Amino acid sequence: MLLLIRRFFLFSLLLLASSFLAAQESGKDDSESLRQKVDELEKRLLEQQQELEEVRDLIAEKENQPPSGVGGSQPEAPPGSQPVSDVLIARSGLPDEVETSRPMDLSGYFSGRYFDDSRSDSHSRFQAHVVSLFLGKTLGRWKFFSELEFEYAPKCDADGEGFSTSRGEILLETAWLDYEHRDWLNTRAGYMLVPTYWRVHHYPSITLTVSNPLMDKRIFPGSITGVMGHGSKYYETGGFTYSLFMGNGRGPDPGRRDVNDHKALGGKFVAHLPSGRRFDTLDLGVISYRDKLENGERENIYGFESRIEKGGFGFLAEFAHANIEPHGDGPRHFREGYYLQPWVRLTRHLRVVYRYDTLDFDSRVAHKRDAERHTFGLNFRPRPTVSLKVEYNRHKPEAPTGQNYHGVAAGVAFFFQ
Amino acid sequence: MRKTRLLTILLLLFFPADIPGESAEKYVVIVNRTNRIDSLSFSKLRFIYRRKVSRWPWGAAILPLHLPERSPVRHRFSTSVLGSSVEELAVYWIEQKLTRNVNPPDRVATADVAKAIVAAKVGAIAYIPAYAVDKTVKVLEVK
Repeated sequence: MLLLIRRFFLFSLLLLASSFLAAQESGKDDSESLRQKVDELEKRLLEQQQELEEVRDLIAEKENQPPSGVGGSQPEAPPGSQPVSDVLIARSGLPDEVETSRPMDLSGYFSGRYFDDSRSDSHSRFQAHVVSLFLGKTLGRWKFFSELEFEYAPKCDADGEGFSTSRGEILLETAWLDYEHRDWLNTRAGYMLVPTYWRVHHYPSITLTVSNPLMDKRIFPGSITGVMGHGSKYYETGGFTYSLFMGNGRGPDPGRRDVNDHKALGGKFVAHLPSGRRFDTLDLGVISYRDKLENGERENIYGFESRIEKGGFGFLAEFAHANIEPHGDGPRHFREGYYLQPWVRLTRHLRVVYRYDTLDFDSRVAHKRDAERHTFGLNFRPRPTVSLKVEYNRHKPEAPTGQNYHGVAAGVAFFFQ
Repeated sequence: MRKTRLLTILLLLFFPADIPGESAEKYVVIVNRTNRIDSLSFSKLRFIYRRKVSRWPWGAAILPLHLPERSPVRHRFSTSVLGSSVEELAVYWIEQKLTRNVNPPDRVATADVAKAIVAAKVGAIAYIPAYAVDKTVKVLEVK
C-alpha cells in the first residue's frame, strides 16, 4: 500500500513537472511571437522616423530658399500656396512643371524565347530576343521618349583594323518629342511607330503570345519618321482617340531622307464606345496609310481593329488591306491579312489564348510568306512585371512547295522600372 | 436579465453597429478649394485615375494622387472606381508605360500628405478617408 502511495506521489510529481515545463515552453512561444511583433513595430517606427526626418530636412531647406522656388512656375497655382505642401509635392515627384529637377525616367524589359517545329530542316533554338531600354523625360508640356533595342544578343568587336558583329542588332525603335496643348491636341515629331494596334502593343511584356501575327509589319510599315498630330477626348462614358501623321515612308534610308517628294500620309481613329456596364472595353478603330515607293509603286492601305474586354474575357482583331498600283503597265495587286484573337482568364494569373491569323502577301502569286496559322497558348503572370508564355501552333503555308508543319514556342518577359 | 441579453443579441444581429474597419474604408474625393468642378461621374473619375484625361477643362494639369497600396481605402477605391484590383492595375500601368509613356498617379504616404498637396495645388485630386476631411480642401460629389 505504501509502495502504491509512493508511486502515486511520484507520478503526480512527474505530471506536475511536465505540465510546468510545457507551460513554460508555451510561454516561450508566446514571448517569441510577441518579441517578433515588437521588432517589426520598432522597424516600422524607425522607418517612419527616418521619413519624418527627411521631410523636416526638406522643409528646413525649402524655408531657407527664396519664394520663387519649387512650384513657382505653375501659373495656375492659387495665391498663398503653402510652402510645406510644395516641398511634399517636390518629394512625391508629381508630373507637373515643379519636377524640372527630376532625373531621366528609365525603364525597359528583357525577353527570351524558345522555338521548335516539325520541319526537317529546322533546329530548335533559344533566342536572347530583346533587351530594350526606355528613356523618357517630361518637362511641363514637353515629353521626350525613346526606346533603344538590343535584338538577338548583338556583339560588336573592334580590333583596331576591322569591326565585326554578330547577326544581332542595336536599333532605335522609337524616339520622339511631344508637345501637349490639350488632351485632344498633341504634336509629335521624330521616329514613331505606325499606330496599328499590334505595333503599338507589340512588347513581350504585354502581348499574350510569343509570336507576332503574320500580318505585323508586312502590310502597314512598322515605323515612320516625320510629324504627328494626335490626341484623345473622353466624355462621361466614352470617347475617341485619333492620330494624323506624315513622314518619309518606306525607303532605303527612311530615318534620314525620302526617295521622292511624295510624303507618306496616314491617319487613325478609334472610338471608345460607351456600353453601359456590358463591356469594360469596346474599341473600334480604322486606320489608313498611303505612300509612293522608290520603284514608283503607290500603295494605299487601310485597316480595321476591334478590342473588346469584359471581366475575364477578351477579343482582339485586326484586318489590313494594301492596294498596290505599279509604276507603268503592270497589273494592280493587293496584300491582305487579318487575325482574330480571343482569350479567357482562367485564374488570377493564368490566361488561355487562341489566335487565327492569315496573310496573303501578294495576290498575283503564291508567295512564300502566304500562310494561315492557328495558335493555342497559355500566358502565366506570377507577378505584374513577369510574363511566362507557352504556345502550340499549326502552320499552313500557301505556296505549293510549302508543307504544313506544327511547332511550339515558349517565352519569358521581364519589365523593370 | 436573460430577456434583456437575448433582446440585445437579437438587436445586434439585425441592426449591427458600424464595424470600425469598414467605416475607416469610407472615402471622399477631394480637390483644391479653387477647383471649378463640384461633381464628377464615376467614369470621369476612372478616366482621370487611369490617366486618359490629363487636364481639367480650363487647362490645368490634373495631378491624381494614390494612397499606399496596403491602404484599405486604396483597395476600396481601386475596385469600386477603377474596376480593377491593385495587381491588375499594375499590369495596366506597364502597358501604359510601354505604349503611351504614361506613369501611374503618384503615391503619397498618408491621407494627410494627400490633403496637404491637394490644398496647395489647384490641379490635384485625391481620395482620403471621410473622417480626415477638413476645410482646407473641397469634397467632390461623385455620382
